[in-house]
Amino acid sequence: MSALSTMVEGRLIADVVAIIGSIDVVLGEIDR
Amino acid sequence: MAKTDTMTINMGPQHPSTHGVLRVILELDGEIVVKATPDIGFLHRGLEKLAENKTYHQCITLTDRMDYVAGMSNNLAYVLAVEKLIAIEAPPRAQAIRVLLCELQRIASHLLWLGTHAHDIGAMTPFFYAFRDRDEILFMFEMVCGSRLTPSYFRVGGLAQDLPEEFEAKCREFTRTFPARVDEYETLLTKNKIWMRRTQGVGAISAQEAINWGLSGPILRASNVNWDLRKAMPYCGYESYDFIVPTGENGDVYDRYLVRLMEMRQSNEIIRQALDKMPGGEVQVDDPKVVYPAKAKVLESIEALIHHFHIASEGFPVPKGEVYASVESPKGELGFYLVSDGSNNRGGSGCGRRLLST
Repeated sequence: MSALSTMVEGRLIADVVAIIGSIDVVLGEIDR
Repeated sequence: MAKTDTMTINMGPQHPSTHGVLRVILELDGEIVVKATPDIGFLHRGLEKLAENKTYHQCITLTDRMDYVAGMSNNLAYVLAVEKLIAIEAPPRAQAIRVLLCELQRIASHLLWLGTHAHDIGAMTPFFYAFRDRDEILFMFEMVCGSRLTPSYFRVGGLAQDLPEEFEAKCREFTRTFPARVDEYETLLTKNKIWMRRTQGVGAISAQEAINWGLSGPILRASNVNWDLRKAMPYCGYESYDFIVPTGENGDVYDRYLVRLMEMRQSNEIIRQALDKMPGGEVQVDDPKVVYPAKAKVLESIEALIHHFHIASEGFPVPKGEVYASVESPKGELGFYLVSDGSNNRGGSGCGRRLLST
């Protein structure tokens, strides 16, 4: 998740959706 | 003169493509993202604190609610850590069943990812295909432990019970048909021009960057780093299975897709091998101080009922100490760090995931 900003900066807003999807996050385990 | 201020918008916390309650604060210059700040914690449940006041067995049910689409893998990482702490090892049959179910879970998790990810990008059909096949796996989980999402089927020292008789036929049927199903997903996406243009070169991250960020799992491997705990530090006998670790080249969204698809094929192969060489014998270690008595006995014998009650209410003795155990979960390395003060009812743990560390 911390690498998200590096991946999306400079890209189109539509790519943010594709990139978050590609990380396969499940928020239940990101509570820390 | 044109105005050139950036605009800040919220993506989430209730946005369908953030896959849960995640808020990303986006600073935009037109349609270009200048800065993205993830804001997490909307699903905070304080698992570590909860774990402090539970017995080690009770904590198992907390763990499958972390990554709630890969409950088996979470349970496994936790029970392996506890087993390390009290220095016991589950019997071979239990180990093989754990591997089998965790690989089924990997496929189920990747299928949920595939369906939702493709849906985010605008493809509806893969969602139906993926959920159809994922449901077969959840049906098998239900057969095994009565639960589809939060199994809590693994126990410290083995499993809650043996597999039901009808499981093997159902699972073999699945492994027989599944490769053709993956072919189907590929016909929908792999050479699909829209898919390729939406994913190739997008979100690319180099091998060095991926390592520096501490990424793990399919994202790391898509950046061409061959690191998989099942090979690097085998647990549950993974060293005896024949499989390859797929890697990508460009580390972009497209390669992450390819890596996960290949992983599903490999998992299917591991499941087939596990079925073929499934050892016989017990599914729990012979240690009455740690494992629950068989349910059938509890229902008819007062001694077994007392035994059950004793373990359920007081837990089992553990030495003082600290351990870390980790597994290759569908989403990357998942490890539990347990700190024991020597009492029975302190499952105190820290859980960490390199992929998603914040």
